[in-house]
Amino acid sequence: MSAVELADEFCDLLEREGTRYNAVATLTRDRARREATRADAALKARDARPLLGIPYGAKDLLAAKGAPTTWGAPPYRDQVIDADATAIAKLGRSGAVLAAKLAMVELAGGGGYRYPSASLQGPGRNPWNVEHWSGGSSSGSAAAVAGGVVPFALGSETSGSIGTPSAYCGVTGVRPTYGLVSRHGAMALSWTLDKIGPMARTADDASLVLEAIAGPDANDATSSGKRFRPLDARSARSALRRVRIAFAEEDVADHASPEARRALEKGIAEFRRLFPGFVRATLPELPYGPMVGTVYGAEGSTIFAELIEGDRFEELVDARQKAGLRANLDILARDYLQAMRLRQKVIDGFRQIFTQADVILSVGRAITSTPIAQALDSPPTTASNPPQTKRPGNLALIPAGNLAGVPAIFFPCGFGTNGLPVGLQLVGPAFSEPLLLALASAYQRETDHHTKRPKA
Amino acid sequence: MKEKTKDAPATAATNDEPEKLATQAREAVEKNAAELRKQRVPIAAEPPTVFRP
Repeated sequence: MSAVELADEFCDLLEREGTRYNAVATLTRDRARREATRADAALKARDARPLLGIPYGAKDLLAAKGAPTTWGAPPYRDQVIDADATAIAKLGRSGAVLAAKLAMVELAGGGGYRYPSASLQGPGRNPWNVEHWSGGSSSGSAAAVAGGVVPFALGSETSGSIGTPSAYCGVTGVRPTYGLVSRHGAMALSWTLDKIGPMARTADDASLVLEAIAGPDANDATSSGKRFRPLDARSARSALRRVRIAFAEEDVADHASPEARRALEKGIAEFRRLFPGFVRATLPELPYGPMVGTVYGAEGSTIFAELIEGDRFEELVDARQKAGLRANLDILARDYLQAMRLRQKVIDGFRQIFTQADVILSVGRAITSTPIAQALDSPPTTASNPPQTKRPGNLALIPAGNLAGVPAIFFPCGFGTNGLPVGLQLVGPAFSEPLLLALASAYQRETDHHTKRPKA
Repeated sequence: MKEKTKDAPATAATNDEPEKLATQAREAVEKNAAELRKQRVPIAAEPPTVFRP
């Protein structure tokens, strides 16, 4: 099969199946054919780049030349940014083929949305059960990968936007270290929190994509200048033999929903059989939800102040999102800066854990995906505001990890009693992506959860 | 009258009144601020920046 035939096949799938999940923002068929034609010529010349000719989708938060970039929001439905985001340009140089811009929660949900319907493309539908949500804000990216309508996708995370849809849809998602992947050409919701990362069917696929998109970029002042290279087989074997895993049993025992509990327990047990070096370690008790909400609330409302105070603001879909964006304009500098200075405590807390352990293992999400029509605050289901209990364990790992800028990998570990996916997450020190990916890859070599596919 | 679809949030009519949402959003900002202000940071030992990735 040629790259052009493959591109046509995936564009057809995106058109036919992707739209069932409300996963597609724009089909980029013409661009896909052009890129695939170049890939075919390279393949003929025995070019062996691993992503050469492979179609993919990018969250509609990333600019792509020649296509609309709507940020999932009606006020931007006609926006065209005539340049490629760095991550898309880098994938182009790796020979990958952009087949679609993928749906997302409007403005990546920066005002705090109340319903899965908060998107220009409608509610993200989960390929495992289309009456359930695909998660947000990288809704289309996760649904498209889970539904098999793209081999991989790009998503983004400010706090939970790769993790939650990866867990809900049963795909492997990587939230890279802050600064590893350029954000040039990506919608800014939070200058100090946003990250771009791959979502794929396997850790090995995600690793190939991360290798292509990571690295220095003169157009992004926050770029760390570091690259990503996976561990070679020998280094991986050596690292995995002695790996120490921090875990808090209450993450499952106290927090898992009845539907998710058994599969999460089984996933943890499988992981422990492979990597028995478990130690108990928990994050310090800090107001992670208020911190992350204040940081992205203040930064996001400043970024979108012109929209919020302009004529098109009311076009946004979600009433709670609009109320949140307006209210966030009044966050005091005092409180924003207090949240920012407290981030050092979060960083110190992770450093302390990483003296005893190499990585932290927890649930991806403690619940399975919620029904499409269910409000996200009844009961609260956002990753940034886990329920308060006597034993918080590491359930605040998503906001805490984002505040500290450390990387995470989310990967499936089975299915809840309702047939919806559940998954685990691993978090490591800054720039520990090689170890995180090696661990998830080893887990996937010994299990088959990531090979399961929803019925067409 | 607009037909109600199965995507329509069941509780929208009662809980999505703009004024109520605006009040809730303002209260959330205030609640976050109160939580943050409870945290003490010893300034004598504070690092010279508020954020370092």
